[in-house]
Amino acid sequence: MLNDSHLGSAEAIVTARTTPLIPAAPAQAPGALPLRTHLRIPIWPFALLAAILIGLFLLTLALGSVQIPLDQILKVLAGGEADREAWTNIVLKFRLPKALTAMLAGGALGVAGLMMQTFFRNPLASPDVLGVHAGASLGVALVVLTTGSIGGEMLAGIGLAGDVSLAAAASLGAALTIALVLLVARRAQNSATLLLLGLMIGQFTAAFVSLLLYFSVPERIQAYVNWGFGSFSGVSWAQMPILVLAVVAGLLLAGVLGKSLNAMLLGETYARSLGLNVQRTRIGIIVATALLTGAVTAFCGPIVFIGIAVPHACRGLLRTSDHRALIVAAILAGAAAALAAGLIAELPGARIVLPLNAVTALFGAPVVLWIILRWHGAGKVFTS
Amino acid sequence: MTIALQTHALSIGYPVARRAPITLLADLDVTLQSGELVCLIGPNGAGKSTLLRTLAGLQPSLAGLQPSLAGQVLVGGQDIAQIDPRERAQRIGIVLTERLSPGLLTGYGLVALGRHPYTDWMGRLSPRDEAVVQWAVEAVAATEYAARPLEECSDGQRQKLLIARALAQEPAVLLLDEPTAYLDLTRRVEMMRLLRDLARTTGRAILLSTHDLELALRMADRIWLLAEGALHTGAPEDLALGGVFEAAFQAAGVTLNAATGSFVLQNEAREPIRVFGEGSARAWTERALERAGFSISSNGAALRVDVAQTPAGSRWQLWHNGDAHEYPTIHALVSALREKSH
Repeated sequence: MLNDSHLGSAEAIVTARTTPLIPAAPAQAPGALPLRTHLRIPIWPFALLAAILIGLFLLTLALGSVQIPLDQILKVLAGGEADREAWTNIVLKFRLPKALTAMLAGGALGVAGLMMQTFFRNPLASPDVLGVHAGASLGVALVVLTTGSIGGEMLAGIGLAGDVSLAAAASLGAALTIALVLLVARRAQNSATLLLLGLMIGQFTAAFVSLLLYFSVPERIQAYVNWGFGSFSGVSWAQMPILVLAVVAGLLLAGVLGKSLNAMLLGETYARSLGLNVQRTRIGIIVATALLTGAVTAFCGPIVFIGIAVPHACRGLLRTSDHRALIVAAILAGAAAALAAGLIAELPGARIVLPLNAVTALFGAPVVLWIILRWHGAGKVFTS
Repeated sequence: MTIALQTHALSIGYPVARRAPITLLADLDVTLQSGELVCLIGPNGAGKSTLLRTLAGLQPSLAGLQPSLAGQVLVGGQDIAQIDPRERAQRIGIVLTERLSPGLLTGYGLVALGRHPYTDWMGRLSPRDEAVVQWAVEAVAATEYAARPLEECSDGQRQKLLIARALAQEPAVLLLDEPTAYLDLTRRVEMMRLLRDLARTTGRAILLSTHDLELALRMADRIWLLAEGALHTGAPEDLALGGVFEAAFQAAGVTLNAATGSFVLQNEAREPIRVFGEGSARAWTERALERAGFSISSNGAALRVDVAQTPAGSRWQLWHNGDAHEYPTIHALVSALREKSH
């Protein structure tokens, strides 16, 4: 569906007009190269991204503290048993949910970042620009730093993001923030108001959290900090359907918004002059972003960098501003980026695990810079 | 001639927080005919952009802000506030003054966005959509650079592509806010001619705002003159004969020269000067003298200039109280006159 078929398709609906104002022109002047060929987007970047994604997916299943041969992994994925029972267990119970979570989270954040950058016409916008990370962090801070329901010693070592109460607190915080943003969005005249609102929510929660930190004990502070590092390892099979549902719903909504996002490139006034219901589009973009970012933040913690970098990388790779293609590319590239970050954080063969958020930026920033400079003049990649 | 757009008792203005909205113009009853080019002129801040945006349905009329006030914009006989935005976009196209920051968009991609109100939910272009886009690009003679990224296009090229985008909407009414603002003189003339031809050949009504009075008077079928809270409409010649321009621009120190149809700056305390000579040398000399603050007199004056044509070029002789001085250029002549008057 990504090549030229949807751009030049003959089955697209021709809207009948009451009075055709121009004569029925031939599709193209004889001899002249039809201009529409310039709208075509090559297929190879998608194939490349898909190949990288599959490779990283298999690597994620294979590498770790225990190395598992590729043929064994394929056997397990096909529903069979590996030669050693432990391998089957490791793949099915730990590595597969981790890989799935990473792909869902990466794809979700890539698309959310793409929408935010177009919506705010700002290349620096990220998925949490509406204050979703801030709201979630406040929820988690309230649970971890104030209530005594979670013992400090229990929190110290184990997978924290997997704790149900943390996910619930993060979801609640994110949801409340989103509700506030939506409330304002219905009255706001322009998107700058929302940008300011997101900034204010961030500042407010940061101040509140720092107060909580100030009066808290070290173990709890450590637990809160750990949540902030982010992790793809905390989602169990039982929780997976919730994450899948939220991310798929958000991505579908983003896909429906593709045409509207293209119109939004010209700014809200031009978009309205093209017949776009800007208010409805705005609400749609916010809901989709909230679903994607909210779900990921609740289950994986505040993952940074992927959401801001992946859209730029995709624009550099495809050299287009057509969101219908960029959304698909952002899903593939975001998922691949998240898997790569997860792999590097695990440091295959070593005993320690690096904080995910440190890895995403540490290794991602040079790659994105390379793509932007290599594939296009810096700055031209930006939508704004 | 059919009426493309019509207003009834329309009031335009903008809302102010916690106060009554500001009214810029009240009780407008105007029409736009299919196939005519209308120029909207008036000083900055008179409400030209607000009027265009209100006519395009992008900004509520005061009726929308304050229901007690009546007023509507009718396109094809239907109230613009009542039609579906998609349907509205198929009837009215607009080009605004705001500058684009188009990123990776190409010219053709921009024009293709004009098909937005016609395409399906995915925005797929049908063969007819593509034909219309191609036609729009050709109509503004932008084929040569339509494949380039917008960022590599000049201001004039972008403006043409934006107009092509509006044309691709196949609207009955085309509204343009200062389409010649960023262009040099030749491009301005070219743009106006293009728009006039488009109005003629495609039967669209085109309304554009401009600050280029002389060009507007020469090109427009009708003028909408916005001044001091009133809108005067009519053929440029009718408005000129009726003294409407004189009244509107008096405060600005500009008068309309009835003989040439051009605007001249009003200078106070003008000293008369008489010019003898032939052809363009004389015309340009008079123009320079007028700019320098003299009024060209056709009878006896204390100052007199003879423009002499010699094989080597023109020479200017200035006569003053019986003394004669000769100057090689108009600039030298005007400089000498300026010194004299000090």
